[in-house]
Amino acid sequence: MQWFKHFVAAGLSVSALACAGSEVPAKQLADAEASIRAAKEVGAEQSPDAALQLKMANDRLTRAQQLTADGENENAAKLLEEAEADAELALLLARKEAAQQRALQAANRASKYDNQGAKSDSQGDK
Amino acid sequence: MNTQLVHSTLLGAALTLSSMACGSTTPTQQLVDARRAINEARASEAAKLTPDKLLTAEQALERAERAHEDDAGSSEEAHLAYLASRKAHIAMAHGKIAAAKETETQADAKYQSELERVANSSQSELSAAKNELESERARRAEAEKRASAALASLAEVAKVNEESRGTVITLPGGVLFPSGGSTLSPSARQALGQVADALAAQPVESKIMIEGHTDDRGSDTANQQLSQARADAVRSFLVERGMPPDRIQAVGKGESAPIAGNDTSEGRATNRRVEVVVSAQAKTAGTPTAGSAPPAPGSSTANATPLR
Repeated sequence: MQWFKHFVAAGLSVSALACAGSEVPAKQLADAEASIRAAKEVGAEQSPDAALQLKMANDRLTRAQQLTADGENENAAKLLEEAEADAELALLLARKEAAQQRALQAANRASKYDNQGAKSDSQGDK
Repeated sequence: MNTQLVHSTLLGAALTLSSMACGSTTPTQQLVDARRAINEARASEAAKLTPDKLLTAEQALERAERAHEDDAGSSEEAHLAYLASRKAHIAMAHGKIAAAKETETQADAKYQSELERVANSSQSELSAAKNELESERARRAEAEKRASAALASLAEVAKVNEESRGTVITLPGGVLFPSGGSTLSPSARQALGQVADALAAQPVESKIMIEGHTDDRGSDTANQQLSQARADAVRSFLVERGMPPDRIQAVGKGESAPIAGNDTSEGRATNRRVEVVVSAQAKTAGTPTAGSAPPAPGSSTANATPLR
């Protein structure tokens, strides 16, 4: 049973080290908040897909803040990283939506012009 | 027996251990999702259009896979797998944005070329129409000039007046017919030949009315008949010279429309006449004709002197 005691002791010391080494994840928090802000700026709240990701980012941010308050900084840092990824996806989904909208408009403009051109021609004849 | 029991117990324990080991290699739901997302991203536009973003996602998955190998089912694996899954979706979004931009660029280029095509074609259509209009104008001006010149040339043999009923060519009766007769003399045919030429130059839509007139000598009936016969003779001649019959009418007016007093021989000679009225039906009445007197219906009656 001696080996077991050693093992437990080693495990405890490792977890103690982890606790001592983790500080309040200020950088992750700032990054997550900045990403959420950026996503909102490109209109992520208006697009359903993007809004869902943005909500997930906000939820993770809130939970991370609670964990930080409870001293669980390591888990908080992970959550904040995930929140940042959520927000980045929200931003890209909003951009994707806008880009697809613009592409559609451009395509409509290109195809609609034929009719308009024909129309204005016949008006010119009259 | 005893050893066998020990063996079977050990075997059972070993099986339990191995089944436990198997259980611990089960990937987290996050890793399953991440693997699926990466496969999806590899099949998407991202592979071609934004390979760098796909690579980032693949690297994130590798980190998650290593965490899985190190400590299967751990929260670290779940965390890294979640990040990898996000990166995969982000890569796909990048790919879709790039595709949309490509579509937009192509549509814009098409729009541009459509615009240019229409602008060019309407440019050429426009210049073609302008040319046509220009040559049509020139053609019309030429025709009008010819018509006017033809009428003006008649001044040698007849009097030409613009009146409200049209261009009136007055041919003195003395020139055309022997007294009391309705047969055209050779000099009359020559004079009428010029009239025919002038009429031929008129626009095809114009109508021609031949009016025969006499002085007041003789019975009304005889004068009526004579004036009709003379108008008919002129009409026949013009038709003979190629004027379309349906464009020419002849009417005898007898002594009903004198243009001078019948009390002098000069006045009576003036009243004995044939009038050729050219009315432009399609055009407005009294088309200005160069070389002719200004339209003054009243005044033309007074000084209708035979021209010779």
